[in-house]
Amino acid sequence: MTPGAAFCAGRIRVYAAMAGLCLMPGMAVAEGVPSYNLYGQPGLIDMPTAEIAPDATLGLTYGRMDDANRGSLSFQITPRLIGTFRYTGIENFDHPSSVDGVYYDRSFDIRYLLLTETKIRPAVAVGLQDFIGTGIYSGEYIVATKTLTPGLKVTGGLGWGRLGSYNSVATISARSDTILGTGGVPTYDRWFRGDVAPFGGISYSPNDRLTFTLEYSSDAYDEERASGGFEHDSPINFGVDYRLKNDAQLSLYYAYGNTLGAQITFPINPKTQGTPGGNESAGLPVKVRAPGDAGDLGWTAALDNAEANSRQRLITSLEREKLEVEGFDLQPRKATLRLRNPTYGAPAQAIGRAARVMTRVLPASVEEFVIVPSENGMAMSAVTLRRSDLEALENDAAVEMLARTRITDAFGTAPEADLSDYPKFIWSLAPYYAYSTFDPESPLRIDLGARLSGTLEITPNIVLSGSIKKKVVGNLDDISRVDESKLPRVRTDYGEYAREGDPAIDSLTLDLYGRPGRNLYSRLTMGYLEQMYAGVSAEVLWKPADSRLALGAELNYVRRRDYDVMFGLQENVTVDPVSGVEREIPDVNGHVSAYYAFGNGFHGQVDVGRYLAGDYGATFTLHREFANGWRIGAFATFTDVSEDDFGEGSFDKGILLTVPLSVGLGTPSRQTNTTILRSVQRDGGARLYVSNRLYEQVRTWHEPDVAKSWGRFWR
Amino acid sequence: MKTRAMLRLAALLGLGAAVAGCSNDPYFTNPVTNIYSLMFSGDKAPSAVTQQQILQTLSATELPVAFFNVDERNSQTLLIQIEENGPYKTFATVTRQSIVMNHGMITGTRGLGGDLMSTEEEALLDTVRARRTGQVSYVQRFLTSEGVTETVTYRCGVEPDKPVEVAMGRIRTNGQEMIAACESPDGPPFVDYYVVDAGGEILASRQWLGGLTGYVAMHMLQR
Repeated sequence: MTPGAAFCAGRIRVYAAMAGLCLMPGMAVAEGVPSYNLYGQPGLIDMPTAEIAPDATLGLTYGRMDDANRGSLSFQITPRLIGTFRYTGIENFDHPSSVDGVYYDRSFDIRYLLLTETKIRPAVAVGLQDFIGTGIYSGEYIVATKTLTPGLKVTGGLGWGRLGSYNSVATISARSDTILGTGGVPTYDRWFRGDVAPFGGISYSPNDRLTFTLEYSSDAYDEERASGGFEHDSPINFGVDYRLKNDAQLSLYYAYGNTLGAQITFPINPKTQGTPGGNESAGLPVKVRAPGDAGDLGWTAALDNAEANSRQRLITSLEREKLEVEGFDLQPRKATLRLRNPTYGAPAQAIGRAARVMTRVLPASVEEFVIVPSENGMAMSAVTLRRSDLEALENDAAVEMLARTRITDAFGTAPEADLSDYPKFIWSLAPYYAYSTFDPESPLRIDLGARLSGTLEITPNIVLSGSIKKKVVGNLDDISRVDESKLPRVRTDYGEYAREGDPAIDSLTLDLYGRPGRNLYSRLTMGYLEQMYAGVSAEVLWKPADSRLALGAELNYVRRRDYDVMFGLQENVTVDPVSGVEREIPDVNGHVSAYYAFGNGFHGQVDVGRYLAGDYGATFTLHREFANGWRIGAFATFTDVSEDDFGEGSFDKGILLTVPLSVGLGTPSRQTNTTILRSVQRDGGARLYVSNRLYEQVRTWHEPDVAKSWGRFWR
Repeated sequence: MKTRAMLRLAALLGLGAAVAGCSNDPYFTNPVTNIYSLMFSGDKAPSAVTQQQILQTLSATELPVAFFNVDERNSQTLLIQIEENGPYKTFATVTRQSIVMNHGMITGTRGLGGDLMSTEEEALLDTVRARRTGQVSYVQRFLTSEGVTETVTYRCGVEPDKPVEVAMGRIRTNGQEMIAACESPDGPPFVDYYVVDAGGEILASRQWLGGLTGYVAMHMLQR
């Protein structure tokens, strides 16, 4: 018997197909990923358009044309703003900083959509290309794009700088060609100055897969002609794009009258990665109390007994939800659960599953549930729910329950941690990778190996943890680049550490966490803190449970570790291998920090203080975070070190990308993987790496973050 | 040289162990298996419920039992009622997938992937149960991949179709087929079918549960 499947199927298909036909074309256009150009931005071939990608799209592009290799990462920061980071290697390029004839350069672009496209009006965008740093691709543009008929688009624009170098039609004041600082500084003295030239193009997509492009380029490739082997025979370029089902784009070009180009682009959108809602199994349903049961207080005669009994049933049931009971207190009308969440990336899901278990286990008279999530033994917040709300709203929109939930500070309200299972020892053996980027002698180095980690929880808030790693294959140890530093070599000896540190003790620390007062959280970390430093790090954070603002302070005392990254320490004195100058690393560094959640997933952080090399200044970090844990951001540090003393790059800056592991698993996980892309590692503006800084742990359980993931409360 | 080779082999074996990943932590997830499953996860094998399984289940329990068939995934399963909350009844499989129904209309799923989180079904349900013709509004809520609630509001035209005989599992009765054709500016249109008995209970249905799950056929086998 195969019941049901076929009944009335024929008619359903007709209805659905008819309705589907009406709806689909509109949706396809709205969600479409545009074609990317060789620079890794939405565009024609070498020229930009006024197109943008769907909000939050990450585009990974590799393009090659003639001797130029361009690898780009672009991010649709807001629906109108797109930013791109690019790493370029131009072969056969005669330049003082070329290595084996290859000129490497990093560049940043930004484009803003001024006007969206309407029936009559074209989309209009303004952009800065390679606007920070040494600026080989430096150019600016204003561009308009109009869709004439579905699939047919025309683009026209005006370019400055590189984009104004062929057949210019006018000149607007003089364009500077000096480099500000030592590179790495916005080239504001050039923007929209100098020669102006028009560019344009047309693209035609006969179907969803193919796009043909014809463009007129305003780029004369002056530098490549002067220093490389580039020949510019024609401003007309032809291209064809083929789009795979996953939106990956493959392109072939015939460019500048004599050369071929090819490109591949992978667009990824953090908003659409992974199974919607996840694949994990169902939580338990709410158990509704029988009418009248809520008044029954007979069981309270043996309260201790009932508490022990409930606690055991909670432990068993929550284990099945992959949650842990750290403490429990039962009163006639109120129960408080101190909860540990090793599993769910979304805090609301952990709270929701625990609350549903409580409805099934606790005596009927218990009306108030208080869930106190705990991280490293710190009570993070008190989430108060009414049992009758849980019963009434199980099948309603999740926001209904959120409106009736209170999230407050848990200081002094959390039940004592149950220490019967302590000390706890947890170990794991897993693979690791380490990398270094953008060294002209080898733009990407990677090590692969195994890492053995162990954690001894003496109590929930006193934790001894460490890890040791052993490389199996890799080439991080052949970093031979030695640059002079005019500061204590707090980071630029990374080559020494990579060469000698195998096996290496990544870290070995004793951590003490605490709640010194209302809205206050503390951390004290002692031992081998990171690859290069041992010492003591103390931190205090102030954050009210409902606040978007947090303030913190951190003070560190450091000792430099031996290059073999084992137990030895060395003097806090470095000798520059080029100049031979001895410099001292100060023992003490630290910062005061302000954190702010702007809303819509944007988070800002400012750290002001003294850095490892003794320089004073501030780090500004801005990132966009998605409810599923993806995070894309950038940071920049400005200190009292002059641009000349800092060296290449002028100041410390970089991009960070966090990918949650749950994306691959399709089931919940709290693990994430963060990649930091720093254009160049110097000694100025360098901070100590300390794991388990407080802010991320704390905010997870506070109102703004819990509310953001609240849709998963009933998941 | 030989010791070097041995060391290298030992190191490779170590990496092998590490790639496999091991830990005494019950919540440990190995990043490599994670990446592997991301890249090579295939479609699940189709599952079919046999006549034998149905008979076994019905003889083993007095609780209500329902049969589900997910067209898109070629998967069939039997669910047993495990809980009720007012008119809402939760049916579940042993592998902890669950479906919530209000008088036989599916109002939520958990553990299927792309789950229907909740619905505003009163108007649609009332019209279907009363076997009336009418225009009603209907809301489905889902989680997006980002983890944010997505609400899709439909306008549905409901009308009775033909009377049918129901003979499934232990249920033998006459019912009325109802059709609900729904459209929304925010989501794909669908057409649901319901078989309603004289008491207003939905005994069988073919219901749209969102883009990922598609249409699901439900048959009550025991109530």
